[in-house]
Amino acid sequence: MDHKTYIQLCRDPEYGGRLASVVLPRLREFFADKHSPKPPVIWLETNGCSGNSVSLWNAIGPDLGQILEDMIDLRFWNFLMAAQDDRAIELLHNTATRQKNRFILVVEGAIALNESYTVVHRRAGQDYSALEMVRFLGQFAQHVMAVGTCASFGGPSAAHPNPSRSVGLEEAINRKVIKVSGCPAHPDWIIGTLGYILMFGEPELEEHGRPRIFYGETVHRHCTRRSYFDRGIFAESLGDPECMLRLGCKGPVTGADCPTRQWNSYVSWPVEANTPCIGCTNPGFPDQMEPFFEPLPERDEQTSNPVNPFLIVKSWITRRGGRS
Amino acid sequence: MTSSRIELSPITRISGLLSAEVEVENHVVVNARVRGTLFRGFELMLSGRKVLDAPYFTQRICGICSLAHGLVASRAVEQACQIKLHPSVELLRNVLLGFELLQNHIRHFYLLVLPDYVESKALPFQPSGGGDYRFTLAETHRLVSHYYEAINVSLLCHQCIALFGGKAPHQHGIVPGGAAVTPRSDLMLKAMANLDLINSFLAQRLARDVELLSQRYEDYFSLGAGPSNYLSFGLFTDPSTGSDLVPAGAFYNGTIHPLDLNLIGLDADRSWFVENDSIRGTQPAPDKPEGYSWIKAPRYNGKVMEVGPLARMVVAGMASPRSSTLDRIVARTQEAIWIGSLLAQWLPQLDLAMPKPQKCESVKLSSSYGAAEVLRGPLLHRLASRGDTITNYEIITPSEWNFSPRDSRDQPGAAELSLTGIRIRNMQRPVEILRTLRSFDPCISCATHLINLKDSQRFIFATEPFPGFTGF
Repeated sequence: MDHKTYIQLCRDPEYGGRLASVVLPRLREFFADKHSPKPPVIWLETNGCSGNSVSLWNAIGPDLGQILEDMIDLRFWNFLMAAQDDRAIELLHNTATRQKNRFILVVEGAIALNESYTVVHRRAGQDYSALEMVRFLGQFAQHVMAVGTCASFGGPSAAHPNPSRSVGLEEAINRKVIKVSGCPAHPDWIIGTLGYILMFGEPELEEHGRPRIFYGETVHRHCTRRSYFDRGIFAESLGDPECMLRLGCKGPVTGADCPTRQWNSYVSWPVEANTPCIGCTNPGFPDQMEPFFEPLPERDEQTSNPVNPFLIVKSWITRRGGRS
Repeated sequence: MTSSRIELSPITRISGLLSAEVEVENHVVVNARVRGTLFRGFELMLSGRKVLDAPYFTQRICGICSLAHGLVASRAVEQACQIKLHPSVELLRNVLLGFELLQNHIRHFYLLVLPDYVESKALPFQPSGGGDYRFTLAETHRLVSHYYEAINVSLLCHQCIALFGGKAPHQHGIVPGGAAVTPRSDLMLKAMANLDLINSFLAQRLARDVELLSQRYEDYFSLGAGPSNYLSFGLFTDPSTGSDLVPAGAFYNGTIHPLDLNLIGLDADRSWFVENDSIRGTQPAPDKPEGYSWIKAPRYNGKVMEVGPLARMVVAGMASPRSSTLDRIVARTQEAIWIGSLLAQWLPQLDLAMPKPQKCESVKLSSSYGAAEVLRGPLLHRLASRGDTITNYEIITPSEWNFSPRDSRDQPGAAELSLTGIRIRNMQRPVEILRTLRSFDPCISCATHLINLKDSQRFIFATEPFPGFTGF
């Protein structure tokens, strides 16, 4: 299979709901063809909520068990691994030093520049901060993936006034990071990106450094309530079936495929639950996406030009500057 | 006498970052220190945000107890807006909380606890970290296959939340003023079909596996006892009366006392926080010499309390006041089975004509709170606001009670206390410590918060405004 077919499979609405089940057999074939072992993966949790781990636990076909069996050679994952204490850290250390440029580093959570605020490991009275760990691991990893909006851009962990001085992973380690944002990231986004990396290397990224396959189009573009928007029919309160732009929907400025993909074994998504998209995949989430229940400006505050969603997000970021 | 110190860092298979240090004399733990090493500072972030944003925002505190924060924050907002919920909204919220509890309890036992007791070549049990494995080969095979089943059953719980809440974790369905999705028969049928699978897993797998664990590791019933004080805020709301379905209360001095939130005090003597008079507030102080954790020490009537499924059963008179490593695991299992049967009663009763969420247009009380039993015990959110804007927000999570450090009276926290007295067989592999810590179901993403101590030495649950946090 070539990468174009893979992308098509990831995107095709007909396959969209079954992405995971498509990826796995391809990976099996791929590993069989190459006679290559599964790639070692280190999943490091930093300043975050474990929500992306839990989201991946919600994956189906491959489910978590199949991911561990057939996709990756998991070396370290604080939330799941059997080993603990110094032994767990040894596994991490050995993978980094013996599998140089062969392992994939996945980071969940922002990186606190106030290092004592996120201490991953203590030994003999010495603290090892998340910042130290990702800088150490980052130099040896073949690919670095940020999973979730905190790791991608700072996210809720870096929300104003950012008490821990947290930043996204790329800013902390000064190397290219493939960002799989979302609060949490959809399991398909994680698996699909990982699958692409395993088979073809780095995927094409959009302007914020995220795989174009999943983040290239806005929620608004394929929204199931788009026809209401086009006819100018708007919901007045939560629970109404119409377009929720006036209730605060951030779909027009949010790159994600939630409407076509849907969540939790593809049963629903926030707009189907009668609530606005809160823009959780965005670089400005949550500061620039709040208030959650107040509408985006219809005209740019500075120029009074009609809304250009991406420009608005950028100007909000500059003006409101939540990430000082 | 041989004395030594063991440092365990990180404690894996929990949410967040936790370490423990124990001092051991002649193989017996004489002193334990448990430290939370993650500080996020959500309270500071909440100041200045819109009151209505609190439920979605506070869900980001924790990816595994996410819905619980959304629920309790919504209650705080609704109290501030003086909104009374329709009984059918309360019923739907019970259902959502029930599925979140089941998701947690199943994952906790299989994904987080089981690798402590099972050695297998199957992933991800290797490489193992422990020892003292007592199951036969056949039992091990069975337990490992149930581990994989648990992965797929627990995600059905989150799927049920998504049916009424769009997605999980960080669901959207619980909103200030109600619930966003009116039940429909197709959603109810899908949820009931999932629940059938979940309930048969609970009966045929979880219940039997925990029973087997209890037989093989019977000695863990007499190990890891907590402080013999138990606290519960009351689990689920009785839709018809609005009162707690499982009653709230505090068990100490051998009897159950009615819950009085004003008896909750917070201590940060050994936590990395200091009071700063110039800003009239509390600020992080990671270099504080006597500090050793980002977790603060909540106390009830000055006492250390154990919280969680076992505690709420004790407070409700449903279990005898005996705590141990295995008692905690057994109580969580019993609760899961009971919640599964409650959900089977509740789902068909969901109201197809449930009213849409009420609008929380004006904040009438500038100070309000939400309190409830959630996945790991009592959760409290306290909200102060001016107009539609949050001026101060304070959170006390269940894991703060269980994983608190010592306080100014040098009383160890509940988990620290539970480690003291444990006999460690193999000093190289102190599995007793790790199994006991994990029996509390620690959640450190939740546990480390900042609170304005000066105002919170004693909680005053009145409606007068209190001074807002002024930042650094």
